[in-house]
Amino acid sequence: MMFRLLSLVFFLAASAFAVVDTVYLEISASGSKAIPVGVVHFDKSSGNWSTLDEAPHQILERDLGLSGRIEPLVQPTYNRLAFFKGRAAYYIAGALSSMPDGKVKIECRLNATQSQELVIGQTYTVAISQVRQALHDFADQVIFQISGTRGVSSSRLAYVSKNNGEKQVFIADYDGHNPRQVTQSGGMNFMPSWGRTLDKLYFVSFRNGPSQIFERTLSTAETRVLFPQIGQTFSPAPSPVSDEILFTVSQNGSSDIWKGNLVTGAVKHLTYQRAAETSPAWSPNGEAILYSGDRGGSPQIYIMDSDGSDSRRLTYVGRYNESAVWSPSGDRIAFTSMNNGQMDLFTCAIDGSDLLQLTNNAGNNEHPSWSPDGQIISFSSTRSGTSQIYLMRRDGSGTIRITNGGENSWPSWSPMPSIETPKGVTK
Amino acid sequence: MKHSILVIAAVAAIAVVGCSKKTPVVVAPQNQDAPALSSSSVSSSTAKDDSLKQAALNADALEAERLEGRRKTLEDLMNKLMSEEIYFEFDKAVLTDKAKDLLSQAGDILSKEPKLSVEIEGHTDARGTEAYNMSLGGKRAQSVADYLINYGVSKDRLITLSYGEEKPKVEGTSETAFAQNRRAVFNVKIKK
Repeated sequence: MMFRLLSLVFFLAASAFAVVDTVYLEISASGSKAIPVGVVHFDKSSGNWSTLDEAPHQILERDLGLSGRIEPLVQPTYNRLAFFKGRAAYYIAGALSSMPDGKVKIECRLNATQSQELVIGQTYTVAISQVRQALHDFADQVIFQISGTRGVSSSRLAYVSKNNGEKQVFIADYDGHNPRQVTQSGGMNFMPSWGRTLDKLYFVSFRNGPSQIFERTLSTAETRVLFPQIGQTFSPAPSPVSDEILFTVSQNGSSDIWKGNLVTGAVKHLTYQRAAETSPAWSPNGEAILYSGDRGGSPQIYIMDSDGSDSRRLTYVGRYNESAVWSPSGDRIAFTSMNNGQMDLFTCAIDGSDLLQLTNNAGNNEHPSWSPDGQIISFSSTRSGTSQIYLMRRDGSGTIRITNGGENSWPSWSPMPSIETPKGVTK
Repeated sequence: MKHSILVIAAVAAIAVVGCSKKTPVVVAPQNQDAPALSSSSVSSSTAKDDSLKQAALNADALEAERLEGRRKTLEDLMNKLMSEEIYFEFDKAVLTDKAKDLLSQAGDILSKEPKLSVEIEGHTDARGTEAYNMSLGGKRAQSVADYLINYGVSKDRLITLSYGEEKPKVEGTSETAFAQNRRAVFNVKIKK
């Protein structure tokens, strides 16, 4: 009965966004500052759900917990006392039911704990394979409602999977589920990097001999080589704001940072030192470029303007600092540092100060990539013996592993999908 | 192996041309990788005396065989020594004395055989980031090329490529494995 009411009041609920007091708090992602939200097991009494690899409350629990802004409190049923004790002013509940056409109806709601009044309600009617996607969407709505910033549960990761000595580029949901292979050929494909939309992926392949950058349009499976006139290119870094792409060119023993235009094909040489300059990365506004240079004998992080001028060094601690990436919120830089052969992840402020070590004594940790909201860092680590992909909050807490089997590395976090209503949503 | 097949294919192509009675045409081997014997094949097909043609053909075949032998010798020499020794220190692209000695021998062969060209692959061990290792591999390949250039080998006979840490010779994370993976690999080719 509640659900019939829910469908009726959905438009009311949507418009109620403005009316309900938004629990908005400016918080840094840290487990201790997260806002508790209750999660009740979904009602699955109608239908057969054996093909679901996780229960809805488990998916929501992970999405909310990873955001760093919400602390999920899971209960089998609505438990007012437990939610009060845990200071959860809101809780999520819902139900799955089978439709006559084989689809799944997912009813989700965020309620106030005390009054059990509806805050957000959403009904999805989707194929069983899209249940996770629908729940991710609802989790992102809840995260927005509670924290004021949209969650990233609907974003994706590209990464490199090594099997039988071959490296191939894959894409998966941000939690590692639903993996699909993107590259098939060439034996050695790596360094994936997303463009500004979810439809463009860049990567490096040796399929033609020397390393080259490829652009893949995911919707059409079309692949093209970028800047084939230049000998050896790698480390693609498409701009977050324009049609430009940064990359490294290796020529005559020297590696330099270049900038190219994806539409016109025009290229510009940005660094000219005899030393190696590698791993370019954009600032979120496209006005500055991070890179690593070894003019001092070993790689260190440098910053320069987007036209290649005004280079200055950022890192002075440690002998080997590389792979810097700028947080989407603009306030921090994450990078890899090697000490005594061990690689660990650090962040620092954009002037190089306020160094924070995120991983310690847990194998080699590399390839940091920020979530679109800047709250989570994906990375690869050999802490379990093989290289696998992990997520952690930006302060290094809440680490979870999201890949298994083979060797997985080099995660690259996608931008958020556009805010259109996901397929199958009925209101 | 690939090269010897190409040489045989080219020789076979020349043989067909040589035996025909057609007026001379420029018949270059179709395969781009085939050795440059087209000029002699033209002259052999213009020769009026069959026996002369045959002699020229035999000479060509012998020369191709000899060149392939030299190519193989040079490639084996460079690769065998390079793969058995540590030629680069970790994170360095400086050649050791042993490497210089070897490269001098290679330079001697190259200066006597102008038809041979060398593709130099630079490789690194797995320590460090893939991106930085790509640049380090390029540096290593270039330091080998620079030595040969200074030894008198023309720059356009040398091609450098970096594979970074992507094509290890041996898997593993021991110092022995790392040392074997810090290497240059040579592909000696017969120029067109």
